[in-house]
Amino acid sequence: MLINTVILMLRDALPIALLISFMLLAFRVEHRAIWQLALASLITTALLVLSRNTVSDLLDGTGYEWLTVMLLVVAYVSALASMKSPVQSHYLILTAAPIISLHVADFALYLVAFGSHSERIPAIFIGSVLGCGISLSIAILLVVLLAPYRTGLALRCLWMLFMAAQASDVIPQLQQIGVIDETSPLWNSSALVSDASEYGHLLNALMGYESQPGIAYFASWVCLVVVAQWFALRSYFLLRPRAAEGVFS
Amino acid sequence: MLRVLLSFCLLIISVDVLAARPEVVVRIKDNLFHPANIYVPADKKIKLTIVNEDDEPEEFDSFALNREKVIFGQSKANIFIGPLSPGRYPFFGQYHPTTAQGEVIVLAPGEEAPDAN
Repeated sequence: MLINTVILMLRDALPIALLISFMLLAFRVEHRAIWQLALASLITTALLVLSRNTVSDLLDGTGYEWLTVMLLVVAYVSALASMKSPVQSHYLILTAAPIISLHVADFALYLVAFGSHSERIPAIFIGSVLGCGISLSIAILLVVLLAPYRTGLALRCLWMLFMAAQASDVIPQLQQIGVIDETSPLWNSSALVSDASEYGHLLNALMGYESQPGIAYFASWVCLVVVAQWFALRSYFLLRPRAAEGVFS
Repeated sequence: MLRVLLSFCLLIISVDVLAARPEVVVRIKDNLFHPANIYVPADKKIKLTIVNEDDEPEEFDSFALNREKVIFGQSKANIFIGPLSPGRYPFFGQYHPTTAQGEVIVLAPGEEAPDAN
């Protein structure tokens, strides 16, 4: 139970920790926007947890996958919009809140289901603290390493790569409900970095790493990354003069 | 033009979604998958219906199949897998990974399963 809780916490907390790190590094986020993001994430998470059972049964059992796809698309499109100048906080909230809520809702479901047994609470608590601690440590390390480049192009490109990676999860969701067919993997790098390993989790959260990607996943990943990088480059080179006016951080 | 294209895409998707697929039923009871080994033919898309007979939820998880689906207690869920190449694709219950384990075994053409599912 302890190890399993750590793994589940790591799976859900790591993307959130990385997202918040990238966001705080790439943008000057006001305190008010942080509170708005927390509130939006809380409400969305509560709605996801409370309605999950019902939504899962909709559309012949594909309801939750469609909802996930919708939220990921909203997050990605908002991330593209956030590359406009001046950066508007509601775009950042629309980018971050769906990602945070999907992950928190997954872990909350586990907590609700297994936290009701009093004998399991110590293991779940310790596992959650450990998983959270590891995720925070990685996020802090990222902030320390990237802090010198916080106003540079590289960070915007990394932020958009991260968001493209999150959005590329749309393909497995659509394959799961049978909308897109599975294809043979283009390569197999599981001997190098397995999806189940710690590095696999980290690389998946950072850049959408899959050890055996099919053509649909790879093609969509490339498209999402190219479009995202184009928006990042455009915002830096075409809209950069406004930074001198104090619009960009 | 855009409308025609959109209608065509929706038609393709709906035909694909509604098309009848071979179905395999897996039950979760006492945090175990029954059957633990699922035999399916190669190069066919399969509808996997997972029935959770336990009171607690379980998460069907597979890195090899790239699938992740929560099935609530006393509930069922569908996921699609394949078309797959012959081989073994392990899966597990994310909430009980030490007990809930199984494999999708994809049979090559002409190969037969040891017993029926």
